[in-house]
Amino acid sequence: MARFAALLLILGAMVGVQYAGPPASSSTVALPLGFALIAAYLLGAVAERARLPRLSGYLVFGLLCGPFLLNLITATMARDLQLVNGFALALIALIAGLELNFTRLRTHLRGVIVIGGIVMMGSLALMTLVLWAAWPWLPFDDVGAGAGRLAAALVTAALVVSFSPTVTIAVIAESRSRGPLTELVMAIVIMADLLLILIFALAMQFARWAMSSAPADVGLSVQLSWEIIGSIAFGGIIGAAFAAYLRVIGREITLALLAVCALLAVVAPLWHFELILAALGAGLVVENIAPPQGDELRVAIERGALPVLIVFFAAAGASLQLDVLAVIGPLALLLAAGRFALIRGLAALAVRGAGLDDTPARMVWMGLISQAGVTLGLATIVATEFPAWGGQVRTLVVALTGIHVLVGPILLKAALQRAGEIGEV
Amino acid sequence: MANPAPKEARVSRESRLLLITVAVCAVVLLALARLRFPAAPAVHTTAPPLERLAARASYDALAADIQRVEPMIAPNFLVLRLAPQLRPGPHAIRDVLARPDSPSGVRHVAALRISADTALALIEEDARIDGIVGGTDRTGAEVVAIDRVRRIALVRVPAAPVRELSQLPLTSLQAPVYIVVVEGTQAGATLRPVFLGRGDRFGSSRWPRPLLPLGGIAVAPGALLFTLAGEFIGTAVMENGAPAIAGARDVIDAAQTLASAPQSLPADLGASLQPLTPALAAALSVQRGVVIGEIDPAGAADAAGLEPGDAITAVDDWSSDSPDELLLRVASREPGETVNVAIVRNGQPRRVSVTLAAAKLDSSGETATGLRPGDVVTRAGETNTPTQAQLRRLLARPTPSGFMVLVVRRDGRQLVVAVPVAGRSNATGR
Amino acid sequence: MQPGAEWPPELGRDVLDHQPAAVEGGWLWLPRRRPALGVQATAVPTLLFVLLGAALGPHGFNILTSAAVDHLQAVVWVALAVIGVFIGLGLFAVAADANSGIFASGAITAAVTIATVAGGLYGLVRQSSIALPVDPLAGCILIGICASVSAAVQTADGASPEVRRAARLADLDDVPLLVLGVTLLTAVVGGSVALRLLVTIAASGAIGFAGCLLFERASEAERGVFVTGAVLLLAGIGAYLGTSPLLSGCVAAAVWVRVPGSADRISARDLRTLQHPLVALLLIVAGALVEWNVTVLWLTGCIVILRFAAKLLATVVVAPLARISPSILAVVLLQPGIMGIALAVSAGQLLGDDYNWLVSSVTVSAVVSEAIAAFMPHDYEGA
Repeated sequence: MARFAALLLILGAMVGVQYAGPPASSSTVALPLGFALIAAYLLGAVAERARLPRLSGYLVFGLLCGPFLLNLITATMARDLQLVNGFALALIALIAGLELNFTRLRTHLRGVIVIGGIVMMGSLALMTLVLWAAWPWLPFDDVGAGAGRLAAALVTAALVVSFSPTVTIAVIAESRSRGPLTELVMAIVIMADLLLILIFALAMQFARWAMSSAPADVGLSVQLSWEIIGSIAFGGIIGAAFAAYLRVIGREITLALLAVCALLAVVAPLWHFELILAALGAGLVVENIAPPQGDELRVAIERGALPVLIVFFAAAGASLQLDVLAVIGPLALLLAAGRFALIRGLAALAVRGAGLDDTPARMVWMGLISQAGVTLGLATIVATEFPAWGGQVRTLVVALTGIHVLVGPILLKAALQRAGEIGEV
Repeated sequence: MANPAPKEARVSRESRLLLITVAVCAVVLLALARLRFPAAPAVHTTAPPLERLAARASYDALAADIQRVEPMIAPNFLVLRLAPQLRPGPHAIRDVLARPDSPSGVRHVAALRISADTALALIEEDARIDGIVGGTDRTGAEVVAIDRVRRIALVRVPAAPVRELSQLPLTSLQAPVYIVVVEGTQAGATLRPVFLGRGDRFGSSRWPRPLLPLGGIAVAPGALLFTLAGEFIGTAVMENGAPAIAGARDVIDAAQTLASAPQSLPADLGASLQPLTPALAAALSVQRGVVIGEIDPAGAADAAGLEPGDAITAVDDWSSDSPDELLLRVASREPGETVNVAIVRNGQPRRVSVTLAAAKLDSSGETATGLRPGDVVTRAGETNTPTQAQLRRLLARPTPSGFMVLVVRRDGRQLVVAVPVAGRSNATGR
Repeated sequence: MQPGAEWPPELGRDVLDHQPAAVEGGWLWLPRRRPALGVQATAVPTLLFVLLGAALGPHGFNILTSAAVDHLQAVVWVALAVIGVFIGLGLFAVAADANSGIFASGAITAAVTIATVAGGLYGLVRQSSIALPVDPLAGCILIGICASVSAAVQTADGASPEVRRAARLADLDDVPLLVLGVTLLTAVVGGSVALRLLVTIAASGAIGFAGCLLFERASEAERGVFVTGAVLLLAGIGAYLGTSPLLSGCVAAAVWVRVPGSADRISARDLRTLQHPLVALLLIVAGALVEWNVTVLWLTGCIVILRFAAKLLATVVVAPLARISPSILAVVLLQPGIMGIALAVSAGQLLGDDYNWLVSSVTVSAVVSEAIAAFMPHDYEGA
């Protein structure tokens, strides 16, 4: 009751402030940041009471208060909030790396490869076929009948079937889950993210060739090597430095953790690294080469991750484009349903094929539904390079992402609950 | 997280692992960086001359140089005022607005005196010399001859004493260097220093000797270029859309050729050429060159036995895939000269000697009167829609001016034409 | 909140920590145990950080470029809100034993100081050839307000009532200055002054009440989120409405102090960890904004002299009323503290680069006044 009253007071303050007129200062990011921190957190607590993931509460907060509904967080404020995106991605991927222990992972490795490979490649192939066949009836520009259509279908399919490591890892982190399902899901989404980079780059190259647009100036293999191996190597160096700091100095760990994330978030895009892979590499090095003693790092992560995750998902919710859903919603729903069926079916097949018939493995598919910012980023690349049909595909991906970011965490949390792997808060 | 082991041994083992990790990652990164971001090509170190130049060519020093060189070269140039020939057809506001460029206006171009009463300038064929800047109303200039290929015109100008002009060949020009550019403006000639960067010369189809590129420098075509010591370097021309310097020797030679043969026309093969498409290349078994499309029955190519479908691979051992370039190259020769043309006919290479003829530059098909076939006369004098008989009678009647005004319809537009009549009558009409 | 209290161990030693032994006979301009209002000993070496900012800033080595300073704007807002919270906590913490006589004396001190500084400066500006880029009267009043504030002093446990009264007076004389300053600032920003001030107070009050409802019942991790969120909201309100986060922070802190509960203690404890770095950052940004030109140097000289004279005059007028020894009162009032700089930076953020002269002159004069005050005999601490 007290919290509800507090929420109302804060809402009232926000309404009053915006009523008083346009902002006097150009830098007003503090207002939505503060609002998001408190109000989104409270909504997250409500979601948790309803046995949903907290971040669903953060997303719903963003959606409700965002530009399309209450407009307490205006479009400008929503854009300002996204300033933390890079930082948040780095933190989330770092957490993922810290959770992946190679020794423990070895036992699941076969399962990870089989399930991830079959689900990813199988969905990609089938979705490409469906899109290729249905292209003339889709609300996309004509791309010809031959290689052009195949290339466009392949690129679109790669975007549609991609999984999101960010949301999955965030749900796992905030629910403090531990166990075989957690490790399986985490490993699969990370592997799928790696595969996605490869597949997307190859698909784009094929599309460039098929549509005779300007070729990339650097060889594809070199580019991919830099993006994948180079990113992990860069992260490895940062991770090693962080691990050394933890061992030698070991003070102000929260600040140091945040500084590492900030460094990764700033430097990785400058040097064309893949941020998630770099942060993952950093976390992997810390966890597997020089794991820290005690719980200080864990406490620091919990302390530092909470506000970052709140703001990240609140901003994501505020940036969900409901008008796009209104336009392309039916098609997006259809594709979402198709994707859902593909993932479910192929995962079941893969689990049987891998010889894993235990309950955690059977629920793995529930962790593969989420989609988020990574997919959107790739869709933007497609839209920039192929403005006509690429722009339309991006609109579709925006709608799909909106659906999956709301539905995915709920499914994953339910799976983790059923597997009994949720940690104690 | 892993279980703690004996602290000291664990610390040293992990420290070693961390160092190894850093080293391996650094090596991998460096190796990939070399591939991902290839090193930029080595740049010519022109720093020392530039430094010397920069140290010397300060603003004040350059201004002083210009002041010093101006009296040396001023007698050798003047500024012509040009207006393009007016199109004879009807001009309505929709014509003006439909044209992509702004209404044609007056231009000013610098002209180089090559003798007391002759100058050369870069002028388009349809330009009209309106006068000389700084001259009186009575001082005029007229075009004596035009080299249509190089667009150089020989102009008769009012006599004035001219200084002996020393020339500097382009090959002797030591770039990077500051040069003086003389351009024409409404107020007369303007001299300004322009920095010429290092550059290699390149061949041109219009000019016998290679040109020097001007790069991104904004210099008006036709501008005259001198060194800071007053030596004539050449003229600024447009070559393939980019500014370049045509050397002094070529420019003066062209002017002297014009002076000796003012009516000379460009040389021509007497054939129209087509580019070599992949299909044509396959059909004719030819890799490079151009294809003859049409032969002028009275032309040089016909006389030499060339046929449509012949692929010209070289002219005097010079090859090109561009018909325009080849035509220009031929045009820069003189009519009557013989060239060696390498062709491929039915897959067989041959060599043919062709004696070039003068080009036939066709007119728009207008007669001397300004009428064209197909014009409909809607009014002759004061008679509306005259019949053929009426028109013949009117044209046979003398008028005070010796001309009669006809209103004609051509291509959906109406225009007015003055045609000569049988003779001039006195004011009373007799 | 004892002067000798340690920092929380997980944060390590604070760079601003110092030993009292360094003060007596030591380097008087180095960090002294001269805390900000009512809180833990947080000696703020104004001179050090302002000079650092000036050296790093666009007018120095340009390591902190103008673009970087712009990006720090949001952080500066938060710093101002935190300072405002601490001002409020200190002002209202002992309101129960507030002596109306002391408050009146404080108001008179403020009036005398601002009249002397603003009036004297206005007269000098009119006489001189110095041209302020704004209306001279408004500009002089703004400078007067910023220059008139004085630091509060934390008294030792064994201090005499006289010293306590002097310290309290130094706190209270800033209240009318703060209110006047914020009102004037709001008026200069434009729009409806009354509406924006009212909304600021109302919204900040609402945040304050929300804080009371949330802070106490929250777990450790939650508390961090709530306190940070509240401070960000306060900073955002002040920035959005153009009324300065100093006011919004002050109002929220007043609510936390007044409403029964431990919201004030929780917020003070949690914000203390942020206070030092944020204040240091504020001073660095102030130093980076300092422009060195004739106008600024002239204004600085006038401000320092006028301020000194004003404080002495105020001492002469108020000391008999408040029954405080003039020597004690003078020393207490002369120290400038950081609130003036905070107010000037706040004005600079809201009004733009045109007001850099205000930030520059107030900052430099505060530094010079600090240096002068450092040489004043400060026997009050042992009294």
